[in-house]
Amino acid sequence: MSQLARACCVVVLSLPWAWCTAWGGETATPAAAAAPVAAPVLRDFVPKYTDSTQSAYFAESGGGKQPLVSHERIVTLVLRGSGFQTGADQDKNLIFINDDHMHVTWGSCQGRKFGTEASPVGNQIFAESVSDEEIHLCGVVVPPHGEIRVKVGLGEKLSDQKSYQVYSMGRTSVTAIAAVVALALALLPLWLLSFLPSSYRISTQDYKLRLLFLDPQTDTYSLSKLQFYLWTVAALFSYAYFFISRVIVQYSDWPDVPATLPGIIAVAAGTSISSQVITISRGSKGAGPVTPGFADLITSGGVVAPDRIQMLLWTLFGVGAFLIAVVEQYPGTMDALPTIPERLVYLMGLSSAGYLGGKLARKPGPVINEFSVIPSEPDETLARAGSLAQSQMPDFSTAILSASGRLAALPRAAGARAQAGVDALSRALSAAKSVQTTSDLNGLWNTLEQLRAAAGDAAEGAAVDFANAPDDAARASRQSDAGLTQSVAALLQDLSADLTSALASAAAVPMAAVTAPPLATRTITLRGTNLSTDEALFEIDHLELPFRILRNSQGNHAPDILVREDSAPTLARIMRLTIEPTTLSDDDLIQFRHWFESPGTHTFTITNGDGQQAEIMFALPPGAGQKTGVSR
Amino acid sequence: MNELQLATARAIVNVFETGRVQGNYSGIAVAKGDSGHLSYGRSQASLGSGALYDLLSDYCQCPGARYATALTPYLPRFQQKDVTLDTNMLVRQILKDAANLDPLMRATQDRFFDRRYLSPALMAAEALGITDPLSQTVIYDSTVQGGWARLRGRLAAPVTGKTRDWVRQYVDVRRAWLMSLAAPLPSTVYRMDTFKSLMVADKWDLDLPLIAHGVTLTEESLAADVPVSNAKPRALILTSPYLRGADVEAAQRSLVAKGLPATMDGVYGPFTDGLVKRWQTSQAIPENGVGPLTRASLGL
Repeated sequence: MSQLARACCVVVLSLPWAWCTAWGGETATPAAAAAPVAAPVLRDFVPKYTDSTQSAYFAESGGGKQPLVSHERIVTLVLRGSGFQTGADQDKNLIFINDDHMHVTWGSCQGRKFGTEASPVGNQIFAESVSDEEIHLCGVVVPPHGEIRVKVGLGEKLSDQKSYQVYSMGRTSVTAIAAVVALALALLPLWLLSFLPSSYRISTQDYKLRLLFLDPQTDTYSLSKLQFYLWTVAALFSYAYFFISRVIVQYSDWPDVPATLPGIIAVAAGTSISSQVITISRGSKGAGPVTPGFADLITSGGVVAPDRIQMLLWTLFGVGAFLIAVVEQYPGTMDALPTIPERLVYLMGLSSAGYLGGKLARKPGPVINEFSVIPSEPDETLARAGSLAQSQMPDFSTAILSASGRLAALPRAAGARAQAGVDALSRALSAAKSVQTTSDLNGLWNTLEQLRAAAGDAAEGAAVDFANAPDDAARASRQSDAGLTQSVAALLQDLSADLTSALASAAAVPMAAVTAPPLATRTITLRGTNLSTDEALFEIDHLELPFRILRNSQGNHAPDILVREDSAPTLARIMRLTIEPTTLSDDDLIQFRHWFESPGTHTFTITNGDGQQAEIMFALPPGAGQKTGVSR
Repeated sequence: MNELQLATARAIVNVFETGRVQGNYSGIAVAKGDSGHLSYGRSQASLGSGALYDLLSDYCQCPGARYATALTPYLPRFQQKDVTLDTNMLVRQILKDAANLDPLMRATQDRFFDRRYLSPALMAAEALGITDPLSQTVIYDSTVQGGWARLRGRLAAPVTGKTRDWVRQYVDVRRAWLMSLAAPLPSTVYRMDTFKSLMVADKWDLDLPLIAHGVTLTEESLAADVPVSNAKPRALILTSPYLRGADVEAAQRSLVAKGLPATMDGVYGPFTDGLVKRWQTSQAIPENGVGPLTRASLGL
């Protein structure tokens, strides 16, 4: 320090000695020291860090008329210790931040404003000595590195320096960013799946994104895949959390992958792979309901499996506990991922072993890959086809012959009225004779109605002519005409009725074929794996299809086994169920009609002896769903 | 339905089946197929379904059945559904004669077909809450022609108070269904067209007269053309189709006896009606058609 500066400090400016020391970098004895002063004591900050800051807008003088506005993060510090000056002497407390003596305005921190973008304020720290053990500093600007080192001085005495750290992010921000990162990575495979040219169809539902969780052999949601994905996502999240904490919050180097993560992935992957190996060697579980559901996670072929329940619960608990332990770590101070307690890892290992052991101990369950019903059309459709085969035009010959004979037996028409009646009848006969097609038949009734009306008019006209005859001679000549015309009109009415009767008789044949169709023998063929033959329960629409209605090639009430499982001869790969409706009791026949009479969609279920099920949907007649979707 | 409405319902279905108000009790047809073969009677009881045996068995058990002795030997063959009966002309002739000449056969057919078709139809209507006579006739017609059970399931149950809407919808569905079936069933949609016309004409109570498939139904036309001995004689009026029967022929015979030149064709047509009017004018009888006064004056 120069002599001039020292002189300024002591004599002219009367600045505290310690400030002068800092400015000059050299210790000197204060000129005005009259009595010994105890150094204030500053204790450690509690807590030593924060990520909570306020915004402040400070006006800085620039070259132009308009002041420059700087935006700063500020914090409020609470200094605790002893030996602080209070009251009127509080301005004797000297505040050093990062080795700089700070000009502070002593007073209260309450109600202090730190400006807005529109109305900035001067950069100023406010201080309040609450007691001789506590000083509040407001508006302390956070430096870029976040570290605030504080000392308190009194006269030439200085306290120890205490450090306070302001981090850029806290748990919430880091958790959110890590979650977004993990989610984005988890969504990547889903995005890639969306590029599949066609989706996987089960029954009538399309599966594309959910393929990740499906076991293609049974079309059920896979528990081993779920636990593997959950642990993978948990690992991604935790490493993202750790990475952000170290690199962004703590300004540290890229952290190495913590030792915890490979272990987690290894356990999860090991369980998943072991599960696949067991499935291949022992056979799959039962396929269960037609479409996959969440119940698949705790059931095997529709039967609740305790080993799967405990596996699911331990997985959820383990993943949840691990994630909670991760987010409990403060990003600013985090230096490692939390280690999973040994006993928890041990329990999880036992859980996986229990799950895999359950798979080993359980019998393989039924899976239906292909299903067909022959004939594939419902009885109603077959009946319609049968009725079409019996399609026939009505036989009008008897009616025509009868009318023609009666017409020939009538006397010849003399008058115009009678001739009109005879003409109408002749035309009706011609129309009836010429019926060849349905269209002709439909037109016949209109023709007959018109001709009947014409003949009726002629008969009425002839009767009026007779009634109006001027004399007996005329009356006599018109008498036969009136009688003949009446008879012809009646004959035409009879012809019309006979034709209607012939039509109704002919229609009865195809109607009988439709309403009382012969029932077709149904052959159901199942292709799949582990299809029980002797202990199975078969159902359609959850109504039992009992063995008593089956008839195999040996004439027994049992299924035909076309291909057996190599490893388990009592199980079939291809099975045939044959139902002959002619042999059924009335009650069974009602059930048979319910299943096969009308078009519709049905559910077939096979339940093996151990209760494991497989379901498949089928349609009569087969629709798109059956052709491509029900392959399970 | 009251008795007149029941008779009207039967007559409507008779017209659909045979073109005649009274039906064709002697009608015989032979149809192909196991459920068909020989069929007989007003609503065609068939050999294949076993209904023909049931009908003839009922008839043969009636005291006084004139053709029971002739038919009884054939009953076992009817029971066994012996298809050779399809071409047995002697059996056919016995059946025709029984229907034409023995009122007991017609009465037996009425009972049999009512039991087989009308009663189940009325029960089905009641179960659905359908009370309109016309609506009940629609169901009756479906049970006679066939397919009621199949089509009824295609519609939801009728809502109380809106049964007429349900029946209208049913008629439309049935018409479309008939159109989709094999020939000649599409040509029988006149049945549904008739019902639709009656609905438009607000004939829900089957009030007479009404027209079904070109046939005018009146109280007179519903009366039997060959009345039983103790029945009240029917009035003879001009209607379409013309009334026929022995009572008409008797009236014509009386007219001839009174010097009026009636044609003895048993048809109450315009000419016969004109002669009746001429007679009524000469006798100052104020009556339309042959009623009690005219009948008395003609000595009938």
